[in-house]
Amino acid sequence: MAVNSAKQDELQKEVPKKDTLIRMFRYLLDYKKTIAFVAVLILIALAATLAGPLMIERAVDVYVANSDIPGLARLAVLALILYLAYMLSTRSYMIIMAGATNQILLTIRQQLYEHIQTLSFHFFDSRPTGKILARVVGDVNSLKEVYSDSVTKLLPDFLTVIGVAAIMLVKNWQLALATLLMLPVLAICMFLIQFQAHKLWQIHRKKNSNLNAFIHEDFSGIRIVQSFAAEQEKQRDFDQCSDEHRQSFVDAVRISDLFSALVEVTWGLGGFLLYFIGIKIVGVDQIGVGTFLAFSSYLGMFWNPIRNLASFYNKIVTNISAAERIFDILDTPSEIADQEGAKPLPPIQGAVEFSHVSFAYTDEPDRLVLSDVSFQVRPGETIALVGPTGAGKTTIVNLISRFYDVTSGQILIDGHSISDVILRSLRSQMGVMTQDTFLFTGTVRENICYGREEATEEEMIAAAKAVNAHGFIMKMEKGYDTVISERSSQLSIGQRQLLAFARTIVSDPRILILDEATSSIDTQTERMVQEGIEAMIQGRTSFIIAHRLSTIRNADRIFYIDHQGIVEAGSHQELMKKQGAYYRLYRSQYDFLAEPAV
Amino acid sequence: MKKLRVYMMRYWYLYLFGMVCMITAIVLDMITPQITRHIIDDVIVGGEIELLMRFLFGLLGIGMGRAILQYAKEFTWDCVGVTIGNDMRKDLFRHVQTLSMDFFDQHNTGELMTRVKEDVDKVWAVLGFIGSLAIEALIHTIFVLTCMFRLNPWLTLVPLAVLPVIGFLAIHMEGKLGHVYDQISEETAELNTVAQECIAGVRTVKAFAREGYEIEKFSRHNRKFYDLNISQARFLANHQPLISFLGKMMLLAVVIIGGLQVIAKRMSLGDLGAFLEYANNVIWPMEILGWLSNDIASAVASWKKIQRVAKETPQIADAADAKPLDQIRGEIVFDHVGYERGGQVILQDVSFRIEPGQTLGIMGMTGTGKTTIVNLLQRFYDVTSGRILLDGRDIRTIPLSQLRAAMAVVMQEVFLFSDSVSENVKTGKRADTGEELVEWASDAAGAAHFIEDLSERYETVIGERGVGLSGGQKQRISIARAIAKQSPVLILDDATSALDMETEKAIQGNLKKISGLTKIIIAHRISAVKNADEILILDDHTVAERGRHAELLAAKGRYYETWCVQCEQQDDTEEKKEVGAWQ
Repeated sequence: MAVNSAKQDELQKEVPKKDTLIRMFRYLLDYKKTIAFVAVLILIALAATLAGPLMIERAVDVYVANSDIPGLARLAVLALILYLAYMLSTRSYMIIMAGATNQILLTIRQQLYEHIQTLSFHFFDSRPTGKILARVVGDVNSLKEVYSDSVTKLLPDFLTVIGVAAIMLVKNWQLALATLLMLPVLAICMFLIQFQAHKLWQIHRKKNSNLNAFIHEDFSGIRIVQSFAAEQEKQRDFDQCSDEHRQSFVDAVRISDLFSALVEVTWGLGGFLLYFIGIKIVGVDQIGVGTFLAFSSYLGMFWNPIRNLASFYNKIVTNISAAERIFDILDTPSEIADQEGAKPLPPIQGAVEFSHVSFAYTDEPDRLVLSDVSFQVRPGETIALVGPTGAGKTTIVNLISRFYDVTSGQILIDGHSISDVILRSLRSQMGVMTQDTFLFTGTVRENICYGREEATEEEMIAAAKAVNAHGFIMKMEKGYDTVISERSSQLSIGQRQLLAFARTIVSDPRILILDEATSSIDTQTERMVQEGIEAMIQGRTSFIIAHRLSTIRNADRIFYIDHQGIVEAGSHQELMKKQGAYYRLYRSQYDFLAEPAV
Repeated sequence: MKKLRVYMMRYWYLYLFGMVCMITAIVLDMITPQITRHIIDDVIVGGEIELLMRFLFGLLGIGMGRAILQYAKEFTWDCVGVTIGNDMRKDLFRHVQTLSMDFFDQHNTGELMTRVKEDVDKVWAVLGFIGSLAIEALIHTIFVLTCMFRLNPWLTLVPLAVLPVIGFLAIHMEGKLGHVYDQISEETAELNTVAQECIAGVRTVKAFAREGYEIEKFSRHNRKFYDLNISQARFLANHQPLISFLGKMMLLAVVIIGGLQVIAKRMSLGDLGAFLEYANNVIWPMEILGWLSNDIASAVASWKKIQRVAKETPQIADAADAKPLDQIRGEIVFDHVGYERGGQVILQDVSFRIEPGQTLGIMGMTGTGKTTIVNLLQRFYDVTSGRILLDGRDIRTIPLSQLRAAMAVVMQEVFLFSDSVSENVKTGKRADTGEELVEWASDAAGAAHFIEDLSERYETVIGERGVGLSGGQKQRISIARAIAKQSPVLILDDATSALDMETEKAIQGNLKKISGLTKIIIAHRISAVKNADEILILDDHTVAERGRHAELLAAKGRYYETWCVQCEQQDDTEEKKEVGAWQ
């Protein structure tokens, strides 16, 4: 299986930037009315801002020059009203726009998370958790400014540029053209720069994700790091990750910072052209001194918003790679999904049939893990799977829960092909205890009732008692309401396994799958739990993977798995009589135990 | 972690360079209007066309100069920010790695990630780009105020009166926003934790078809994150426009007061015009102040969070008088060791001695403290009574790094890094572990043959925590990792539970060949411990039985019961006879 490690950069599909942009801004369309309203408010604020200098000009030129104090007072009142209007509308649009922006982020993050939930194991197997997290949290956050600025900054700046350009054109088209001449040059240069910048920001995002993954992994495995005194080594790796992260940023800003420099250059050139063309080519007499004066102040009014627009463009180029990473996940199809017209699986009896099932991981199609496996299991039967590690026992049970899809053949439960039924209806009737016990941060109660929230207190306690966990739970600080944390040392691994066991019991499945469910439980406890297990197995179809023969012997049938399939099948007695692989396994264990210590 | 000042001082030259660029750019900014004035006064009005080109090239030159300075300034500030951020991140990471298990027990990975990642990012932003804006605004304000003062000291009182009000507002807002950002940072950690947990536990989520529940849980935090961001926006919206408003009012006040002065003939109209131009120039730094204090509030909140982690000291650290042992033979003594935690006894009066090269087996019920013995031995926690000796020295007087280097542990819960098999096996001794050693250790751990079968053999990258490998394969790689460490002491904590007995037996045979290796084997299967020199049976947090295999069988206690169950010979008379024969 191709796996991406914390230190490697992720592969990502190349998508045209235009598509990503369109997709990004499509989210804004949901807020059409809000944005229209915000636009009105922005226009009011803009009008007030632009009117300000005019009024002050008038105040000085007309009222002060003429010593007209009442006129000055009237103007002051008018200005006060205008500024108040400015303040109120700015305040309103800031709040409204923040609402819309954050709502979009909320939506994107939720969509992303929900989509990730539907993805198949393959997705999770092939990349570190930290990298998925980087997309859900960091990448989404970095879109915030793009969305908010796209309305609140883009609109006024854009309008100002258009407005000033229009005024200039009306006043004198020759000078206006001289000023505008540099704009296409600027646009072309920026467009060329963004190619390079975009690539570099993509790299930076990947390095960012690597860093996230590395931190996540190191802190999750801190016990191993400290136990192996590997702190120095991990620090070196981390330093490298962090340095790469820094370097990728420096590389990116080295290009990105050209944006504003470019505006300055074109601004300077624009001024040059304005005066050069105006004076040398057209001639001052043609244009008039007043117009020149006006144009020299328009120059600043024109280029300042362009500088802002350039920096907004820069922001988009910087953050579009974050959007690409988000859409990349949203576009990852869930390999295992409900088929069109999938029906819910009715309450099942628990007959399981494998019909010529072969399986290979999708990225290694030539490497068959299971090859042409067929068997039938009656409702209520207990099947033990034994065999060497890595032979495919876990794969068989994973296929029953449809964690992976078969490569060929089919799996039937009560005669329904599992790929034709709704996934939820299938999995909710199964109880799987996986090899790695995973408990969630939360109370013991929440954990035990994870599979069936509506379970009663009695059911929960009965389950805990059945697995011999009630005793130590009651000894805990708050009993069933004690909070278990990620690394909590208050529970041993064996005790965690018992809680997971209770969780499976409470979920009351029709088909039970125990994959090394008691591997960390001592024999004494196991014996006490045995009763619980047996009561549980009663009337349910069960698949049990275990290395301890005590657990296996009582199964109705034993499948010996090796060489991509079932080598032997039968009851303990039958297989012992056969003197094949199972017999050898059993004898070796027995002999080993029985021989005296050396 | 060092003081912020120390980090910044390290790059004083970059800051200095950035400032010089900035000030020069501001000066150039102020020259531009002069040239424009010359063009208008001398060339356009005065008609001295021959001067035009000189002025124009001056204008062009200033444009170029500004472009270069602008670029140099921005790039320098960006670099300095990211570099300091990088330094801080490395130091913080180094610090977190030294903290003891107690700390990690209380803090989730998602939370720690947020500190090292998001929080450092926020601080870095302020040290770079945002810091530069703040300084630029400040310099600009001082420049302009000076010019205003020289023009008309009395009228300068107007902006001087407004500035403190704006400053107060900004500080007030910073305080309020700081509180919100504190919560935002906390919620980011929460969001990270919830998502991290769900993704790490995705197998369980899917097995129970509980995606809906997890989505709901995430949604709650996502919503809370949204709410906090909205309240942040509200605080900002309540202050920022007000600050802008005050700036504009300041201008209006200048016009009115200045205007009255002009009318009263105490000031010339031209001076008022010039003064107004300056006043216009002092508005943007005022307006930007609101935005800046918003970002600064966010950085301060993050910095506080970082500091909280940075102030944690490792509970377990080298004693001042810790001296390394010359050579470690591997003799381990537990001398009446007890360990309590939160008022609960976890281990009580445990004593044993293992000579170098000997093997100790430990069995017992879940939750009786077997793993605690290993944790205490590695000093993940310190004993609360009694002492532990390695080669006759209390382990608390041995440097932690030497102590942990002296023992290789295969933990019950396998943790592999998402890296190549080879890198995993080399963990902790990457520099001096050659490929032969990796292959030898893998072979001894019974892992060589399946590793050889992987697509890129030892260079195959395995998934996080070893996903893609079976439980037994993961266990064998983690055994290989411990063997490759070549420590005098090897501890197997229920390390063969996912292996079949044949593999287990083969591995034990291989371990036996390593001479002088002191071993502690914790297991539930008799097969794993029966050859030990001493076997301890723990019960109720203390030693219940001890002895060799044969002695324990003869004692007919718990060990014997366990053995009977595992042999499953109760109903098999022929086997029973055999058992009888050895006793």
